[in-house]
Amino acid sequence: MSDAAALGARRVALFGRANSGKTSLLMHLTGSLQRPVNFPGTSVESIESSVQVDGVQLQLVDLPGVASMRPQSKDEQVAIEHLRDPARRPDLICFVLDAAKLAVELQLLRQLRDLGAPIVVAVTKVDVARAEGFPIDMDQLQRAVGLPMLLVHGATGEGVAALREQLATTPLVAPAPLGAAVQRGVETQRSIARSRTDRLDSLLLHPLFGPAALVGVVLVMFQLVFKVAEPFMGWIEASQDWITGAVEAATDEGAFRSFCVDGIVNGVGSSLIFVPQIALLIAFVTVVEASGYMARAVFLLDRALRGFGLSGKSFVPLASSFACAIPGIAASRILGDERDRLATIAVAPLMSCSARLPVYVVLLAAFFPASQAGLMLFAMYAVGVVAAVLVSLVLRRTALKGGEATLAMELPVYQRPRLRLVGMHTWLAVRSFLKTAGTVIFFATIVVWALGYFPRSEDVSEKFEAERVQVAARGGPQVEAQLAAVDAREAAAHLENSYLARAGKALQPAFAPAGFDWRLTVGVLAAFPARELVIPTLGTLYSLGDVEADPDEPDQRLQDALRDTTGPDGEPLINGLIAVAVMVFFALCSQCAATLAAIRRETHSWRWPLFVFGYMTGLAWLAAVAIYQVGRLLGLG
Amino acid sequence: MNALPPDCPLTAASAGSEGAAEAGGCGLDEAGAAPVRVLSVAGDDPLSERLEAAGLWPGTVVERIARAPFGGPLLFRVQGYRLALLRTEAARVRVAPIPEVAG
Repeated sequence: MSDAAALGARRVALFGRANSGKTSLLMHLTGSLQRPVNFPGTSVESIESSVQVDGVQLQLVDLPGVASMRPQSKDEQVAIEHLRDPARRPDLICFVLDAAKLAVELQLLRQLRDLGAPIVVAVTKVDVARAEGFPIDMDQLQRAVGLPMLLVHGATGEGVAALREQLATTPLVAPAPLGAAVQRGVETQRSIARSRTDRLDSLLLHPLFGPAALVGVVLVMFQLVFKVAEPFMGWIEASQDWITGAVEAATDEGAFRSFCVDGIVNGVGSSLIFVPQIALLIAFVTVVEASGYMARAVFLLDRALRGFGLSGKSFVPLASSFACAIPGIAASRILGDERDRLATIAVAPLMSCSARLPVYVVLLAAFFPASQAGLMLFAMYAVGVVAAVLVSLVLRRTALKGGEATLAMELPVYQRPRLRLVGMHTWLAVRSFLKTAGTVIFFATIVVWALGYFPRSEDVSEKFEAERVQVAARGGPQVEAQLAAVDAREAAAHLENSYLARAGKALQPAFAPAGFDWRLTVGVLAAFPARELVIPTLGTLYSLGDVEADPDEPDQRLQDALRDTTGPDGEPLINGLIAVAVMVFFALCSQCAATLAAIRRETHSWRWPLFVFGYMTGLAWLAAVAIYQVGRLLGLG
Repeated sequence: MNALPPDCPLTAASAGSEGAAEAGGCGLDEAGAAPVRVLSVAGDDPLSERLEAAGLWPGTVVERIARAPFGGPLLFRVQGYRLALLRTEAARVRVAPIPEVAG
């Protein structure tokens, strides 16, 4: 017995197959999911929680699901090692037995007993077993297994209080070995011909209706991410504007105000803005997953995605990445095969995320008639998908070559998703996003702010101050507008003098073949840590003062300025052709420090984030140059 | 639903079912829609362990319940639950028809 147990605490591990209902059981046992933890030295995340029962502190950990005691994936290995490691070994194992898969569960329980640790069996999904036509005789099962055994109901929490009591009080003794008699299959007789799941499957896995239903589900997801999230994002933007106004009222003009407004408020705002989309996406994915449909989507899509060197399970991470690559990359953990997982992670950032949308919208509105803009927008999403397919195919023939294709997965019974579980998952995902993206995007914003703000030239300030005095002295009805115009030009002059602009001008030759002028190059540079920074930067560069990036109402002034700014020769600096080159660059380029940080976290090395950054930047540059040069040859633009 | 017994050559060495040809029957990937009985799982590697852990034990009755389009995975009922397998995975499982269960 460990020290912890002597002090009236018990470490209890919830152990069982994936989908056996461990996580919702933990939620009912302790009333909450307190903290997701990473197992030491791994990216395998699990959830710990504790609860007090009759003076005993139950410290519960939800181990990753396993299929057998011989681990095959990283997750399974972590779960098994946790049970074997003398330092972390639990005092008691709570084996979660899915009654709907009795025969295979008993096989796993047999293997688990050989560890010699005390076991309490929690039998879940008895209702599912009955609905599927395999009712369970608990008395008979109890006699055969010979371990403390309790019935629990994952949805209602029925029986959980008794289980909690049992976990706190059961004597910590090793189980006796199991006789061979228990391992009798349950295949014998089914009490019904067709269950509800069979009927639903005959429709949802139908060769024709099945794929059609899948398309419908994906469309609903996109509606949620892009339409339903919109008002929420609007509120966040409005609060950001309100706070900006308040800060501006409370501070004096100068470096401190600029730091607060353009650095801190903008930094926090540009990561908070994604929370509605991510929350809706995760909630939807959790609902689809908990309903049992996700496994059907994987089943239907597997063949198509195999053709691209991916797997059916890549569907979830890739679809999530259309909102944001960070939850998408985290979702790649469901891929059991390491090569499939790495290929999925490597191409997930090519899915056009919502941070690219404002860039597309502003440029499309400025350079294309509304009748073409929709098609062009679709083309930008297609560019990312096509590139992802090509990169994945190349990876699977080079760095990630070999490996036998595997799927072997259970399609669970259809169930009504539980609101509480959905809420809990959504909250955990949002928190994890804010932790990764919040910190990285926040600091990146501040760095870009500093590079764009400093050095401050006295000469520039004096010159514009003198101009302001002149304008004010002239007076007249237009004086306010004229003063604002002077301010905007001053901001542009300061930015042109900044370290950021100097770097942009130094890099200009590299982007000249793509038709970018130095301002666009600076915009691209500013967007490297986080894409959403490009619109405000371009706004300042094209002398507009502060410009908001709002996909709904792209700033008319920015569009006009982008279209009308001319070079020394009187030719417009940007035309339709250059706009397409810029959009394709943004579609393919890896401009998001938070995504790279997420890849680092999931792959445990800098190799993959560096590779992703390198190949995406290279691909983006090549594509932008190719479009501009070929376009010019064809006389476009 | 196909009421005929599975159309499977009883002794032929089926493609993809390496090492189990002598056991008779055919690969699970080639079995029809009627229930069949598992004879053996070929190989001694992670995949065969997974199939074993999934409940594909000798004597187990398996029934195909769906096929994904375009030669995609197959869905089986085994040990009372639904298991999706790639065709290559299913080919590892050697099965024989159950004469009296036809239909």
